[in-house]
Amino acid sequence: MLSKVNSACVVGLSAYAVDVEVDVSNGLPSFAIVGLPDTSIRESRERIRSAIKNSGYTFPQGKITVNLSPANIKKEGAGFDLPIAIGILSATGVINEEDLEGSLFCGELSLNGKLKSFRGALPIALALKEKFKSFILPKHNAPEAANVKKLTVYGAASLAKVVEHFKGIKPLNPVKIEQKDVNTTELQGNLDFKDVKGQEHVKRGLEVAASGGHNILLLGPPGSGKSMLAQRFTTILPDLLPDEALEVTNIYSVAGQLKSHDLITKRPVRSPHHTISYAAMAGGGSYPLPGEISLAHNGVLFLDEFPEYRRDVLEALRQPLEAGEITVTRTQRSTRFPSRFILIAAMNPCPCGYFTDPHKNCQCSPHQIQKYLSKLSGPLLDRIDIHIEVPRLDYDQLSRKRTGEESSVIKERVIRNRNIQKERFKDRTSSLAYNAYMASKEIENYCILSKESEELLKTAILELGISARAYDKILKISRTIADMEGSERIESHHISEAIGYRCLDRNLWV
Amino acid sequence: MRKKKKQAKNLFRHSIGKYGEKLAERHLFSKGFRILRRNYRTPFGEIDIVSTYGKYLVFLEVKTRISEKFGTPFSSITRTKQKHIIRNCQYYIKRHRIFNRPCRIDAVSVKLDINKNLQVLDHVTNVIEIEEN
Repeated sequence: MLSKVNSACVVGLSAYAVDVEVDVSNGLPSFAIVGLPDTSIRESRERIRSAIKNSGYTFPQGKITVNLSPANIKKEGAGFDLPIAIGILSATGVINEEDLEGSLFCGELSLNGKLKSFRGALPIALALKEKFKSFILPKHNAPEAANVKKLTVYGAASLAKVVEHFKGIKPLNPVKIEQKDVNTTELQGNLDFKDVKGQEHVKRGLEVAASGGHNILLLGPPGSGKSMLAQRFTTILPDLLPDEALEVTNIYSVAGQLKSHDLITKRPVRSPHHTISYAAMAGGGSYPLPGEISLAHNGVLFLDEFPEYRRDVLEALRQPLEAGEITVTRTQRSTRFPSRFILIAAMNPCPCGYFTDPHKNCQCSPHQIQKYLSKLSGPLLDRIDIHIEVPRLDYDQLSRKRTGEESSVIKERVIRNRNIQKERFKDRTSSLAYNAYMASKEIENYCILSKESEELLKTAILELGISARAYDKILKISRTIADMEGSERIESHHISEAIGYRCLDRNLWV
Repeated sequence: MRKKKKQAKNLFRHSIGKYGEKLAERHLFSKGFRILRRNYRTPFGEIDIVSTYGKYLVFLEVKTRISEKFGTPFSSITRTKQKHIIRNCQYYIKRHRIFNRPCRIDAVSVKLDINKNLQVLDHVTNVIEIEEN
């Protein structure tokens, strides 16, 4: 009357195995779940009772005790419905217990016995692929777990289907994923850089950012096209590599935001509104979930109206921007979420927005402008490699018929530039192989300056009062610009372009 | 005078309950239940019927009503009432040392009209379960 079923629980981006032990014994009817279950697991009693009954099996009348071990770790999530139900059916002799060995079960049950998708199928499959042979889970979750090659993944539509599988009445077919050809033009809709008239230097800046993985701040009056440019940024980014895609899908699976339950092949773009809370941005909750910065991992985080974000939200970006990950610590445990994204921030130069506009008068007092800009702290600005001004277009440029380069052309160049970097950082994983993530040692090794450029950089630093970190940034940007030209050495015009991308360092207008 | 009236009323109620239990018992008997005890008294209250049915030891709670003005018979088995029933059953099990036998608690609702004619008799199995935590 005792049975054991294997299941798993997600912690952060990983998972651990949980043994679900079910004992059905004589006595007054009761149904107790022990082993630190959370409320959703405790409530699963009612779902399991109805699901078993409505699948055509009898729910045992007796004392049922379910133990989730290891007993000292808190379990959460509705994924334990299926293993507990299978455990009860196995304890009452419907399923043979030996058949269950080597199989992993996860899934939420509905009252009618149908299996519903749950959060975190992919991390469970990734973490436990060595320990188990097969993984039985709801049909909807099956494609994401099937990306893990080592496991045989079975997707079932209902509890009855799972039971029939183990009784040999109607075995399930293992789910296999065939590599799909992704039609990228279709995915990106009709956004294209050629729609943006003028603003050639901004496009160039975005191309530099895309090539080297640099963060970028767009600064300009309202209506100058900042948002338009930023939205088109993903169209020039190369497609996700297989291991990057797995990382991204893993994060979305944990967050419960996988819509199609397939592998994500498109670079994520997150553009949270400026009223976003600290926990939503950085990740949080008593069972830590990834926030926006982690959901933007390997993709783009677009923050429009940058100074309008809450101060603590912006400051929370500092460490992830530098380290590429965030550690969310709670009393229970601390969890690490990767957060390596390209930040695109857009802002006005002053509260009214027209400070840099040559044709419109700015209404703001110097004090107001000072206050507006001081919302962005120095350390935060230091971490944004490229600051670029987006001027307002005049009539001539607007009315011109000539359109710019197509995104696909720029994208090809970006891919070429990235390949140069990949060659340079051979020993790193692909999401790290960017100029923007060079350590200071590597800057010394790879950023070889010509005589002229060294002179130029020296004068620039002396005249403009550039911080040590900004000095590193300039070198990194100029490395990327040099790569774009295919040049080994960093020449003076690379340096001067890079300095041009640090407009907020230069204290030009405050 | 008033006291007498009240007594009469209580007596009437009591007789309805008794009659309902009798009807329930007859029903159970016809279904193959073996009745062990009626109105088994415990220090906490009483169990209406203790019976066996197959391998099961079945405790029964019988509720009789003549009007639904105050709810259906089953609706009067509230949470507190359930706790009392469970305690009674546990007492019985301990007292008679019936430890390794499947048990369950059933409920029977008997609806009568004002002249004590049977309207509906409803037997529901396994209605109460021990709730932990």
